[in-house]
Amino acid sequence: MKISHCCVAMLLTLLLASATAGTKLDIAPSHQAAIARMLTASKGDQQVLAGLMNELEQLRVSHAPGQANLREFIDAIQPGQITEHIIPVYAKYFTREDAESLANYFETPGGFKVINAMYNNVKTGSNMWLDSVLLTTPERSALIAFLKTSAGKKFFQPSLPLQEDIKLAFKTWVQGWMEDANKKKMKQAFAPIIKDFDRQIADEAAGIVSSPSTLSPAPSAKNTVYDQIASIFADNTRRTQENGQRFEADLAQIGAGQLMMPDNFISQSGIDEGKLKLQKMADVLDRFLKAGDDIFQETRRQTNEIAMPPKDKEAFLKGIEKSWARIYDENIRYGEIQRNMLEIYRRMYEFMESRLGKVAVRDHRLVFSENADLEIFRSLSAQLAAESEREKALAKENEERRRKAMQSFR
Amino acid sequence: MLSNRLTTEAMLRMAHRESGDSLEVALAEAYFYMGEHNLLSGDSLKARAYFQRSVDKGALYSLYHGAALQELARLK
Repeated sequence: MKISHCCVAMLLTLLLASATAGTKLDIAPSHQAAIARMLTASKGDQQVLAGLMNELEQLRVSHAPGQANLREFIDAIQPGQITEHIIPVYAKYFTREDAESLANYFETPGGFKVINAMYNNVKTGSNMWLDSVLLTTPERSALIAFLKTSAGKKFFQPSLPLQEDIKLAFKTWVQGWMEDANKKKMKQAFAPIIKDFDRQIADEAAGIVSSPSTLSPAPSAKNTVYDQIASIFADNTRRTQENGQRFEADLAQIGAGQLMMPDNFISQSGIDEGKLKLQKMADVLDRFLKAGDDIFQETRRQTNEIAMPPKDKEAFLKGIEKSWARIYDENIRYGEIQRNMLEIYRRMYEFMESRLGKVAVRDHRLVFSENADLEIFRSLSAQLAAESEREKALAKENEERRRKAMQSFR
Repeated sequence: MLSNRLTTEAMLRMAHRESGDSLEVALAEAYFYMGEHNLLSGDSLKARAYFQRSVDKGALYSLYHGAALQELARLK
């Protein structure tokens, strides 16, 4: 049986920020069209973009990883997407009539000047924008008149909830985008691992021995956190498989498969040889478990060293701990079953040694001269079968855990 | 084991010499000490796994069952 430490795969999704669903409004097409026109006339999308660029600049100093993410987001924005995301927010605060009135004003030469000044203000962060607008007297009068209208008041003195809603709409959009982008990166980084995992599962289902994994920590130009995790994962999988193959090879070399050959039980030399094999198997098992433990410890160490923002890392490690605890539990149980089996074999050999001369082999089967001895032997065989069932159940549990963990990467 | 005079492997092999209920009791004790050993080494995650396994043995009348439960509560 192979216990693969599918340890890094688990709660990687913790890294993915969960998006908050935005408020969905039923907006009439005419209302939507009016808001869109207003936003175009007021350079709404460009102002938002300018605001994002300002934030990007601030993040450069305060939060470099955040800046990289925001940069990626801004680069991916398609024309019209900003308007599309803010229409529902504006529609909540501006009626169709408001929007039409605003669009009408901003489409005038004076309104165009005002909105340009406003846009420059957002870009430069200046607060004196209205004073810097060079308006003709009629334009100034039109502006003053417009500022007194309901739409003008709403636009130039935006309420706090409107600003908060715009922020929320963007937060939701950015988070959703990040989640998708991260999923894409994660899937890309884990694609070779998934392929290898599927190959193993298919081989196991077909009852054939899987060829060794060709996974290797592939260098990545981008080296995202997912690449780092995938690389650790690949390394862990490869080393775990190698350890398992070494264990199987060692057992084969000892001749573990011949332990229950009837001829071994009817002579002192056969029994001595069997006991020696058991001792060697116990040593090999200890080595295998120790090596598996070392591989896992190394994986934990490497995972702890992944460079990511402290807050994300804390959440990531906290989430992953649960899965690590499960792996430790599986490993302890695996060791327990194997040791139990070895002990039952040992008892079997001890028992058969005490019955030398009273047991024979006929047609490759043990023949006991006393029924009580047969019962004892059967009881020991049943104990072995029970341990074997436990081993199978554990293997299934292990496979299920790995399958579940891999699901998030597909 | 805690004083490094016995390896963890040797301790587990000794425990496995028992059978039936005695095996469960012996394993509850062995896993408890494995938990303590890991705790002393600073690996509380692994320690928790051993304490939990000690409790899972269900040796309710063993001192180690209660002790492992206490350690688990302390580590939460």
